[in-house]
Amino acid sequence: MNPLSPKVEVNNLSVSYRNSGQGSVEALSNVSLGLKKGESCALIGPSGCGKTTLLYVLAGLLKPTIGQANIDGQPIRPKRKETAIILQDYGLMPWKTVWENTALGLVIRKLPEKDIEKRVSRILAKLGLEKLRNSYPHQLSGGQRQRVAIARSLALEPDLLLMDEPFSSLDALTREELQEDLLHLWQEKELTMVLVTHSIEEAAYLGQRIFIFSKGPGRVVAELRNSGVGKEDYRSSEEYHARTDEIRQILLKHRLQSI
Amino acid sequence: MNRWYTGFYYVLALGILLISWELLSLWVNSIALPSPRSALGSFFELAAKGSLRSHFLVSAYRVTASIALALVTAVPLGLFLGRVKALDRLAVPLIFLTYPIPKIVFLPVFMALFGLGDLSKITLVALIVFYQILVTTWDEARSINQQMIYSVTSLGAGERDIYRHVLFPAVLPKIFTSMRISLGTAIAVLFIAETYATNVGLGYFLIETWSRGAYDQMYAGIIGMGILGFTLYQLFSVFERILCPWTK
Ligand SMILES: Nc1ncnc2c1ncn2[C@@H]1O[C@H](COP(=O)(O)OP(=O)(O)O)[C@@H](O)[C@H]1O
Ligand SMILES: [Mg+2]
Repeated sequence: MNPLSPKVEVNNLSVSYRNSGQGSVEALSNVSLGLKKGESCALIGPSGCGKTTLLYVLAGLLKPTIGQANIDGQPIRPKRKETAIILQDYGLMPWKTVWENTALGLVIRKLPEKDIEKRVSRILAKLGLEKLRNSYPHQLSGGQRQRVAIARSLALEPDLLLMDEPFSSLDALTREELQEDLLHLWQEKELTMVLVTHSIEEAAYLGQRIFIFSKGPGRVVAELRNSGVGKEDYRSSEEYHARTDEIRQILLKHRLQSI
Repeated sequence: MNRWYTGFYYVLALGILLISWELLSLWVNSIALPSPRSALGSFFELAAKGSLRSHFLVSAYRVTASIALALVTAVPLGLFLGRVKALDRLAVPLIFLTYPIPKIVFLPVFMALFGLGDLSKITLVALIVFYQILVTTWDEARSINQQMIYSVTSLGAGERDIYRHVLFPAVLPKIFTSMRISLGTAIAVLFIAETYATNVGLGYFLIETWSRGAYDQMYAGIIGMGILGFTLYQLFSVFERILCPWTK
């Protein structure tokens, strides 16, 4: 475990959106969860239950309406340098090349050009993107785009990685390949990782902790431990299959199966 | 290969236009519509003598200056209004009420305020292009996906970075489109403006030759106007290709 990666705590968190008309929509209701340093966690729940909202709070993009979200015991500040978030549609800039997209966070943080050059080359090489460095996002496949989004977050050398349904629009083969790569990166960098998904298999394969959310406004209806994550050949193990069944049972019991 | 085909069709289109013009002039049979041969002949003759050049250059300067003035005012304002949605309540009715006014009616006002020289002509044309670019920029800037803003904010972006890395590149291709669209109107308005209180510019040249009944020469002016529009249009396209390589 990386002693430097953060622990994340969410206590009695509720978030409401004020609507442009009158009134407000409650997106999350009284959510509590805690992650140890270096843990990976999957959030699963029906669409509209507030998973994205929770991720925004953890990234400091939204403020809690009620309750608290802390990183290493401190209330989350916006722009915490070591937090990286990958948004649902990848959030790449269509007008920037693979290289420019990957370097964007470093350019914004005004790193010296030489350092940017070095870091970006290393990361692109690691993710197998060197040949695409001058391509624009619309010239890439979904999987390649997702790799660029991952590259861009890793360039920041984060210790907390937040991802919103990162692999949901990929074909099965690409998805498994990227899940594998993500797992390796997580182990290598010892990141704390929060992954939103609507796939039972993905939650069971990547989340050491799995939080199951109710329909919106989201509450945590169940919390599972899944310590086998990262083991050799986990996908074909008994434990993994037991976990997917367990998640499925809980979703059925709470009538959330239509996700 | 593709380029060859494109080039071929351009030549073909030009041929069709010239032949139609020739036929039309034969049919109308009036000195007000000379054949393309005599119109082009007088164009090249005047061009060779250099007597068209100063008119062409002054018109080119006026319209370019107008567009530049419109760009440096409308783009920042449009981006700002698109970013700060709280201003919509006031900005929407302001634009909505003034946009449909045909700006040409302000020609006398501008001449009274800014004199009879270049300034009044440039500001009038700039005003028209300004509206076109402002509305386009504003529209595009306000419709930017919040996710994209979040995405750069999470990378540490402040307001300036949002303008630089998101808003400006997002609107840039639309700015070029609106420049191309407003070019026709800009030159038309310049023509009107140049018929007053000046003795240089293609608009002046046209009216002056017309009043003398020198139709051949007048057509040389018309061709000059056409070339001015065509050149600027092509220039915009070249700039767009250089500055917006991702739209290819
Ligand atoms: N910007 C917003 N303004 C108002 N309501 C919103 C906004 N974003 C999300 N919501 C509402 O909050 C709820 C949770 O949304 P979200 O966090 O995106 O859910 P999920 O990611 O689980 O699908 C939904 O009911 C959604 O309609
Ligand atoms: Mg979502």
